[in-house]
Amino acid sequence: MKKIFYIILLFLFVLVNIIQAQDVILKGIIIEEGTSEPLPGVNIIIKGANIGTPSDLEGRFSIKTKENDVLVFTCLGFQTQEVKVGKNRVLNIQLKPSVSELEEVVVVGYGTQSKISVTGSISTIKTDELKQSAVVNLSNAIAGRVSGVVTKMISGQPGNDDSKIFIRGLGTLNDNSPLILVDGVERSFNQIDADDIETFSVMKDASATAVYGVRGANGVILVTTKRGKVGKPVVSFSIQGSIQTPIRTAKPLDAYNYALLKNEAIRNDNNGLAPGNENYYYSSDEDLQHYLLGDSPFTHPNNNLIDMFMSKTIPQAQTNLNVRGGNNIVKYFMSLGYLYQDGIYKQYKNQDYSTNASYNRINLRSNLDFTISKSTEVGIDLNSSFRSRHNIGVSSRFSGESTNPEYNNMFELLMRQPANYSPLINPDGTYGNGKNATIYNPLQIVQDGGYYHLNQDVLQGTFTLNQKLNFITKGLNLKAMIGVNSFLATEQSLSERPFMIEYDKYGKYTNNVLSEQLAIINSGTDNDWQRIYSEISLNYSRKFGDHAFSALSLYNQSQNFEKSQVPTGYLGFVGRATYGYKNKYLGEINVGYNGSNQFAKGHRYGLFPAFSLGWVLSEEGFWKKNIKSIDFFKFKGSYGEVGNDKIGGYSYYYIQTYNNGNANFGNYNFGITPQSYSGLLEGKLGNDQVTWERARKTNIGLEMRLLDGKMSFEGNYFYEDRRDILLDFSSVPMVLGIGTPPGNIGRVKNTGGELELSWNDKIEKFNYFIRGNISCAKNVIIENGEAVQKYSWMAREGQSIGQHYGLVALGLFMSQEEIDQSPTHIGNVKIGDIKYMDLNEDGVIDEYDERPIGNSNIPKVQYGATVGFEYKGFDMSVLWQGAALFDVYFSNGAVWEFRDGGNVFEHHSGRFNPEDPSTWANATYPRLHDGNFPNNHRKSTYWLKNGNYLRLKNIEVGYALSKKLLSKLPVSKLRFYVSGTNLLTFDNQMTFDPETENERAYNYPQMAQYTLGVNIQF
Amino acid sequence: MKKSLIYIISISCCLFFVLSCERGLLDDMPLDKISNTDIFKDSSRVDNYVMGLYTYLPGVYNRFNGEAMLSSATDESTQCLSSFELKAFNDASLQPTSHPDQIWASAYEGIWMCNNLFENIGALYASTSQLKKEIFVNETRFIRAFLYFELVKRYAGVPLLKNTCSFDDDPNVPRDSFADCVEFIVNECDSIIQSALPEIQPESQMGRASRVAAKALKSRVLLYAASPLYNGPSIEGLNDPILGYGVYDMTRWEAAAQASSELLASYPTVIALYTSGATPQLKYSKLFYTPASNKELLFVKTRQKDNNVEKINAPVGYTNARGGVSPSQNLVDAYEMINGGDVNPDNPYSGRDPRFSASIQYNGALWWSNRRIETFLGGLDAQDASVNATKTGYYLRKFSDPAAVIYGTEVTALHYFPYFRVGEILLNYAEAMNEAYGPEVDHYGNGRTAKWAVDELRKRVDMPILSVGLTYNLMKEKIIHERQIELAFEEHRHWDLRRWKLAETELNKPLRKVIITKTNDISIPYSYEYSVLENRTFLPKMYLYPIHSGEILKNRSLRQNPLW
Repeated sequence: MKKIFYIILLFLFVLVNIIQAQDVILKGIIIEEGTSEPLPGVNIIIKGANIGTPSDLEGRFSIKTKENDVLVFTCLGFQTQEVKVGKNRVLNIQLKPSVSELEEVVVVGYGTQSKISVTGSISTIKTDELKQSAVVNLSNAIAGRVSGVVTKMISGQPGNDDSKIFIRGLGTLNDNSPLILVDGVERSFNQIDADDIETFSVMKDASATAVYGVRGANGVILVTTKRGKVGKPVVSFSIQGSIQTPIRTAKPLDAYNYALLKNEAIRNDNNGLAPGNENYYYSSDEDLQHYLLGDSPFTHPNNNLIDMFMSKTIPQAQTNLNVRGGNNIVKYFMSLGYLYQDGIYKQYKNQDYSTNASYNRINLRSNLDFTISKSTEVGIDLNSSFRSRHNIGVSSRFSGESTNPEYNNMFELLMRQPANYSPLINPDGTYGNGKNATIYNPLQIVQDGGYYHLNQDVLQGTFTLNQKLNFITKGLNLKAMIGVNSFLATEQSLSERPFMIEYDKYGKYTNNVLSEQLAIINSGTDNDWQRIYSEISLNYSRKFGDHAFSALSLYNQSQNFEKSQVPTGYLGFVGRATYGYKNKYLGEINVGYNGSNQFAKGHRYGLFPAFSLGWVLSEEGFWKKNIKSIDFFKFKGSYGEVGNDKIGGYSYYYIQTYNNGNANFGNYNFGITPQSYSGLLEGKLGNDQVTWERARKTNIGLEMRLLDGKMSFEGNYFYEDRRDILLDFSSVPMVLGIGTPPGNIGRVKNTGGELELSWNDKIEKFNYFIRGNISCAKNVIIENGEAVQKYSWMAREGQSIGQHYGLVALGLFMSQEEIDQSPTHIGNVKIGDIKYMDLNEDGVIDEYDERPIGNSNIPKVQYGATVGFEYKGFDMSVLWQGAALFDVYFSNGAVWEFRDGGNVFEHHSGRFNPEDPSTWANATYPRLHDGNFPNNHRKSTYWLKNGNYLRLKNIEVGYALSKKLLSKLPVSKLRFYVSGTNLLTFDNQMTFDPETENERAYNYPQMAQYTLGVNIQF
Repeated sequence: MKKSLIYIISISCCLFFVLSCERGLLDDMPLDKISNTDIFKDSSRVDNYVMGLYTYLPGVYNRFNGEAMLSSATDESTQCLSSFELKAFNDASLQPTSHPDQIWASAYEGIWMCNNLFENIGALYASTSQLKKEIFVNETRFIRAFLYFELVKRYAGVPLLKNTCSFDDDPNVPRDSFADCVEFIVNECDSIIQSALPEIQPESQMGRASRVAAKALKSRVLLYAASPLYNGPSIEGLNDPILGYGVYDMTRWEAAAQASSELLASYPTVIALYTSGATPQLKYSKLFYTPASNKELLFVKTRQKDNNVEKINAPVGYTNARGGVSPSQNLVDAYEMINGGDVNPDNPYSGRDPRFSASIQYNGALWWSNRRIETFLGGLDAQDASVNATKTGYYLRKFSDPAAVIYGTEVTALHYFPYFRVGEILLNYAEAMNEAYGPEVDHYGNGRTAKWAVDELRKRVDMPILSVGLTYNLMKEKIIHERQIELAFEEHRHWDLRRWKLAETELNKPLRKVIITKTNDISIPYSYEYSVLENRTFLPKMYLYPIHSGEILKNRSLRQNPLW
């Protein structure tokens, strides 16, 4: 690893030496107003001549000028200043930080705009904030930091922990994921090194997304990476180490309590078996005594698997080295990042290979900009990422073959296996084997069970050309870009199984034997694809007095090549025109015209227009005179149409198809020596009318800045009407005998809003800030093509997407009379079982009594607040994040007792015990059953949990060494910090994390993280 | 400077030109997808299409969740697992929304495929021979008729779709009357019987439709149609044409007898009972795993060699065995003694009908690796041996090939499930003859009476033939009993008890088991204790399956079956 660092450093420094010296006539130093901080990287340009130079690291500059020249000093974040050269030979300039944010630039689709002129709804995250959480996966860093975004982190597995991201909640019954572009090309941002990111913006309304046409309706996330800046090379180095620990793990009962509850369940079920006699799992008093005393660990084991196999401190390390700088010819940003994340399982001895889960990542990036002539710039970006993911190989007990290794059943196994299931190692040193064919021996898996390894290689390259066409007309610019993404994943797995035999509780070896399977190594490609994107555009931007015009016209196309598929492609034209009068009246028209080959000829192209208006009241004379405390006040509104063509991969719904049969279905054998004949199977009818979804979006917003910019506020209200959602005709009866193709029949309305509020101030040298945001989105299904339901409460229409449906639980049955007087429940219901409401009053509890229960599974409200300060080099920030108005449904092994031969947990101790009336009144769990009991195990309010949570998502405390101290060191910046992520969670204290989505909750748990790090700049 | 600029612009434009001129970015057609026109011009693809049709034939053996047999929805057996879908039949918790034996969708999918073939077969290349075309059409006809009967025996009258529906057709299709459905299936069989399809497929093509298969289907359809469930008022006592004929008519039994008699015309030359076996037990058991030179199999579900049946159902004492079906004491009790006497309570398994040991693994039965089955408590295969152990004290033996091996170096075997076999046809004939003419009336003048047909089966396994002079009622009982024994686990009893309207009596009886304990007495090594394993409930509405409630909601012309 070290070697790579040195090589990169050497390479970077060679490049830096290209910077040339210049002649000297006018010299000076630029500092920030009111301080003695020198300002590097200020652009000094001779007005009208397009000749310029930047200031160096100490703020010094020198330039060859004439006496009547005017020098223009510009720097991002500072007010531009013009100075006449006159007789000056030395100029000491003080630049004012820009208060009005007039110069602040926002990334918009296919370009940038000054923030003040934006009329769409766009929110951004500062890159410092993204870095704060010390997360590996950037999709997990945005929760609570940006408005209008709902995130859900499903799993904490290294390398497989992407959050689900929804912009403004859910708008369609199909894929709701947003379009994500990195540096203008569709790419994933999850695995980018946080140090590489310059801007992170979320495009929310029609005005901001219409240019993406058929792909913009779910919102768009634009990420740009850092680029070079004119100035001496700045080398930044950061390194951080973290310890992760699971937020929450299940708490299975010990062997004694397991056996007690199992006996109780067997007696409850009274399944015709004499206690202690025939049923293997029934424990005698003697057995119970052994479990309690633990005096016979082989015949009566008590394995605490969670403690034995799960680690509480999981290390993670991340480091980044980058250099940024440039001169008149080349500007560069280069970065190398390395990450290592260990897995959750304890390391057991295995002489041959590692079985623990882990994740390694190397990211390399080089963004270069070359100035070829006064009017021509060329950019070459290269980015590559090499990732490898390692995991335990869980192999099938029967065949020894690796089965779906990414299915995380090691964690599930630790939860499911009862403490007294079987000794992990038998007295003779062989591995223990249990009776239940679906429960494996975890020790065997971690020691001799093989592994699964996945390598992913990402290569991305972008070439851009920027040509000013001032010779045609001033302000005209041509840009061309070609971007290529390529992805390759290869996998390898090793599976093996040693000899295993059951040693039963009577102390004898049984014939329940699994013979040894020698190692098998499998390998293959997991996934590979390539995408080629290109665009060419003309940009025009010019001011005529008080009138500012800009226009964009752009052509783009992209083509995707994926394994064994006809290439899919898009092409599109984009147009935009903006007009501003005195930065007071603003107007904008955006148009996307797109085509996609997923649709039939004649239905391939669509036009998506949007327009928006803005009115900056604070620029009006009357405002300036009368309202002093509000510096800036803008109304904005937009309306437009955007499309969504995410209808499910390789679809081609417009043609009728037949499928080739396979060995399981479709192929047939004939003859007394069976000869296989290949068969054809029915597919779906074609529907050449299939086309994209169309969203009509309205946005109304208000932006304010008060009290000399100390306080700022933005509020947005939106309304979206999504039509033509592609759905299957569920109202077509099966008797027609053929799958009907989906049609554009669904309709969903989605409304909501966002508020962002921030306060920045300082009390002498104590700088502090408070920022908060809250987003709400509520959707209603207007049409989903469903058949008319027997009862109104069964209808999905009128409800939210992801709404839970189930029975209404009325508590537990307390007496036989109550059961006799109640409607018929399923199965042999006794006291202590769940009682349900009979909605249709037909005397039977059945599926007709299922109605919407609780909220949907996606939060309707998500919020976050950050408080921070900076004082004499110390800084601190605290982020709270939460979500509300959603419910989580857990089932199966996650909450139910003895599920599929499985386990019982702490929450089962509160069960209703029919033999002990003292437990009846306060029972928190129904009567226990040995296995599935359909009445209790139905989706109902009993198993639904309110998911609302509030998290102390992040605290970071840092200390930056002062300039004085630093002057003795060869570094320009040095900052130490400690941070913690997911420190506290306030919720309904479920066994699992509220963000877990899988109903069985066997996903790898979410992690809390404690980090120590240092940033150094040279 | 200007020059270099123009140079750059022209290069970039050329680059774009090159990229954009790749022929039609959006014109890539998904040519890997097969369309109707692709299929129906080329007879080899039609071949594949017809192969695909065969897979719509219903599944066999342990077809429910890969574990359970339909027998476990009757008094024949239960499953070793504590929960299995079919249990809904036993505790009457069936729901119109979740039905374990739901075939509606797949049957109509297959029917659509058949109809689609009839509509497009004309498009074949002219070089395709007329004979080939006729064979395609008649195989397809047979599969459609078969699928329709699968629907009719579950639901009674169903919508008869003889053409494909297009996207714009009215999806509200009503049910046709039971009589029309039966008539349609029988007419289809008749035209297949007249067609160019071979009378019997050669052994290399075993499993394909043939004229005998059509005759067998016709025999069964007419037998079912003549049975009490349909040949008379409905279960609510109504004359409802969708559910049945409403009024009893003896001629329906005559038609059923006639159909079976026509098929038996070639018995025992072209079709015959399988009798190649050293012992009576082997003559019966081998017929299920020996398709070669087997004239008994009229139409079978073919598949690759495997050992799934063995693995799923084997006694758990064998490695890899999964217990599977647990035959009931109720069924065991039904096997007669060879000598016609009583069962010896101390040695209940000796001297029984040879079909007993051919069908059921009992304590002491000799099986693989020359080992005896141990279902006594503490034995290798006993109730307490593992979670997959038997619930009743018995395991299923029928269909299992003793030459197959499920552990170590596995050995596979052929398992062709008989949809139709001569044994069934003889019983169909016996039943229809007894109903139409009486036990010993030689209506066709060929000596083949109801008694003759039953005796043919009993003779194969060396069981004494029926005594002469049985009354109609006694004969009826004998035939019911013979069907239970001869056709056990072949998915017959489930339907037989329904069509006889006997399910209410038989399927409300509790399912029983045996617990066997080893004694210290060498002369009487085991003691047997019989007890109830579980109570069973059968409600009158269960005579017919419910149509999925979603289907009723979507198709406004579709009527639900009574009492659902």
